[in-house]
Amino acid sequence: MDYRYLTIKQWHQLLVDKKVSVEKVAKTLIQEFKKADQPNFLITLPEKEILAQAKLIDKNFQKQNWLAGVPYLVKDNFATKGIRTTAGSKILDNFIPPYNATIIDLLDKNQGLMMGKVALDELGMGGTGLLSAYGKLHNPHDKKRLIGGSSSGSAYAVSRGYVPYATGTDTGDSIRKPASFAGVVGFKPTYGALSRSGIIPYAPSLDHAGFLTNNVEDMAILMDATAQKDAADLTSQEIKEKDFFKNLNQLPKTTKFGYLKVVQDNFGEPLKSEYQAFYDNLKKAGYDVQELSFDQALLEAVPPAYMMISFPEAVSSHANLTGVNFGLRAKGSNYVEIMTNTRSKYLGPIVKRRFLIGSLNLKKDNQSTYFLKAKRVRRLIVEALAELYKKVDILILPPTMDVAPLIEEAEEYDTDHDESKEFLNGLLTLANFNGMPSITIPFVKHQGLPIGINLNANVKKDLLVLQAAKTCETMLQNQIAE
Amino acid sequence: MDNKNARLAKKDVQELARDIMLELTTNEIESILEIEHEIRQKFAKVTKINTDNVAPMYYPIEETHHFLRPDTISHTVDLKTVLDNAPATSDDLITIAKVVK
Repeated sequence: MDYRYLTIKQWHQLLVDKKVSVEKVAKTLIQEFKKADQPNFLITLPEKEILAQAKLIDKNFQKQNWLAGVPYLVKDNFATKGIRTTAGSKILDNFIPPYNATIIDLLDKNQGLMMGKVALDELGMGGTGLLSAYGKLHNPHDKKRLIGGSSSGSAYAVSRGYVPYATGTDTGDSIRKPASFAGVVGFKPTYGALSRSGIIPYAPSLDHAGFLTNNVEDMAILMDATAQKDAADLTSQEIKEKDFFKNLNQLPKTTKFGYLKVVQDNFGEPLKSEYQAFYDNLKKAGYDVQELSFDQALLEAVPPAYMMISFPEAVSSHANLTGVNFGLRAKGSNYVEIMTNTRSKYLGPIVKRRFLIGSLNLKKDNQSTYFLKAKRVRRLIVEALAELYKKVDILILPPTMDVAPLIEEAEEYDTDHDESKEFLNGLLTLANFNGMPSITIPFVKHQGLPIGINLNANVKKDLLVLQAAKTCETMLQNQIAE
Repeated sequence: MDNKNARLAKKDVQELARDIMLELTTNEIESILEIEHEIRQKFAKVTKINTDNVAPMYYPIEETHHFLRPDTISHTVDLKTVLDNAPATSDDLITIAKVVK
């Protein structure tokens, strides 16, 4: 039987009806993964552990549980107890965590079947999918194009339909941009709504956990299982409005949508008309849609402010990657040489460059000029967003201005040369600055290649943004059917 | 090193790298120097914004948590697991190059 593209509910029904055992699912998928056209989407395939977990779930199958026995994949920056966790970096090539990330514990509790650890740009840094130390990953729709990152392996696996969901992390856009390029759903809830305990950090004031799925309903099921306050994460947030699955189809008719004029004016055709048609359809369905203004200077400051905040936080977060207590160790005649040689040998070029820019920002003379300045600008941006949410409930943004770029034309984010339009590619980072829930769903296709649309709501309005996404997903699917 | 517009020299890059325990190759240093001007241009989009009387925002959700957690052991890792992950060990210790010889 072909298990590709089954939803969580379809998987659940198969397993409840005993049309297949969890063990059989595990064995079949292991073989499928090995036949993948880009097998390096997986960094680690722990066959023994997968089969052991499958047998255990079969033995005590909780049929009332949506996720019981349903296979999923894990971005390799989530710690998995007893299973290698590299974060896509050679420096952690042999790291076996003695603990699970909280999200993995919660999925375990729900009897999710963990099928392996998937690729990411090294330590979550880079938006291309080309920067994992374990091989490049390309777009599943066109191998000449980027898949995006850093949640590249998760986007690939869900887009290929191997599993209904995969975990992701998002510091600037790392779930939501690859979701757009790969034609899947990518959601990062409110900052702290999903525990980050046990996730190898990139920039703690911007890092979010989330998921990639093939539909919004699966996302609601996952939120029900995992959105809860966690004492192990001091930035964890309680989200009061829950029951995501039960309430998913209840978007209030009074919901107001908004989009940014400066963005709409900058779309090329046919995307401009497609967005306009989308706004018109929302209006026809009875929703208010408003054009909003936003200070362009603040929008233009988003990508550089992201660099000025995240790179210093990254270099600080990863001060423990020294080769002393864990990970690979290079030779040296004293501890300084060992640490320096280890970091120099086993960290990749983009990570080193970002660390160095971080180091520049952290230099005593520069802290006020760059690092703290960027954090002040962050406040202005967040305040401007708060003003928008006095007018609308849902903010529509483009996750990308076009289909996935060709690899030969692609450049690393921090050396993007098109200065005048750079801000348009950094709009998703707004949600990392203020922590608002943000979801990308498939929108249109150009020459067979997907482009997503991104919806945001105010902080802690996770249910509302999922309801809006479900409504928009249905609307867009009906349009295609017509 | 001037913190505003001055170009970085090779020795500045080496010093920045040393601060974070990295030894860069000549090529890596060159590649940083090549993009420095571009990076500063990007930073200028932030530095030009007036932030008088604006406090830095450290976290997106500014709810302060002032509490003391119970003084109980919440998480431990057994010795064997720690040693299994260490690159070099001797008995029940993680070892590194001798400091005093």
